[in-house]
Amino acid sequence: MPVKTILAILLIILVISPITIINPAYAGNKNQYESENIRIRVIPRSPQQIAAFYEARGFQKNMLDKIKQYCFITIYVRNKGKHIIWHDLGKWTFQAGTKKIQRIDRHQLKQTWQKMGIPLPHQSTFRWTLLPEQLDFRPEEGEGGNIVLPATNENIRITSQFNLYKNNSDDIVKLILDNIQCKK
Amino acid sequence: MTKLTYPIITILLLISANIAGSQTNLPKGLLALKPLPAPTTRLQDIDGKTYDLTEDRGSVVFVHFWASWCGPCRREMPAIQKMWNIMQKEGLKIALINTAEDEDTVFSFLASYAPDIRALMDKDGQVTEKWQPRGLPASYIINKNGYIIYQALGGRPWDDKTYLNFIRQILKED
Repeated sequence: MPVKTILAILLIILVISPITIINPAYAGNKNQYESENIRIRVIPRSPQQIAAFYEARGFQKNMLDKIKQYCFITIYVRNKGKHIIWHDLGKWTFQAGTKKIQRIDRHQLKQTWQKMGIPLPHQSTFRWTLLPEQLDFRPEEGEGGNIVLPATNENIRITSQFNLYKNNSDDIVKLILDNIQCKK
Repeated sequence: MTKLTYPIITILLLISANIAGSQTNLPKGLLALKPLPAPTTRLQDIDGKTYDLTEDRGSVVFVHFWASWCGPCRREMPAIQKMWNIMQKEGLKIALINTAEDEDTVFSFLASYAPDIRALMDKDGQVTEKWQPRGLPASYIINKNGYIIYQALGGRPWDDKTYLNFIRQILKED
């Protein structure tokens, strides 16, 4: 191959290398959504699974019994884009069947543990396993954690919401994650 | 000039632009912060000896929060051990803080992942709370005056040349 051709090929490679490949949304996986800017993974946990996790961390029986009464869904969010994505869990909505349900937030859970006299290390571990209430997801940042819902046998719909600019309601990205089951 | 001169010059310019770009940027996943005084951090290590972050005033300190149940923490820890093997000789200090676990858990975890680093125990998780990490794992770089100047987003390959050179730069500059 002539040197000129090799150099031309090298030049083409160098010029096109910064181009980002855009991934389409995942097909055939209802618990995962992926676009150019964001990836969200949803993993529903059974009460046995979640209790086993905390039991292995030495959590006491009364806390485990309480945990088993809730529905835990692990959410993982990754900002794949080049700009901050604003996350506020307070703006997400949850539906079981046709009924709207209220998420149990970390403040309510903290109060519950305090009333039950749960030791601080276990309160702390539990707190760090929850999805942040608010976060400015930086480019390439990924954070995950649980959201806690009342137990239900119905299919759950999660409407998650992200903003591309802080306090700007025109730039909302809404993602509906459907038919999620909190297995009893 | 030969016919090859222009393509060669173009390629060299593109390569140099790439190198210059990578040198002026922070390593991936690091945030430069407006310097803030590090929160009071007084903890016992796994042997019961007291450590206070102010003891390391005058040195650059790598502060890291972790827990054994956290997957990214497990993946990141070997890189921290490798980074520490190199950087402690160059003057870096480290505060490796476990969040709310017991001695047995910490001992058995670190024996496999980071056997040479002194483990600090935030037994009730209250010191971690004061630092307000975005999540676990969380790493911060503290300057010689005790101010937080950088924060890492999640787990990072600290043993990678880019990160090592970045820390070296802070050790020199600060």
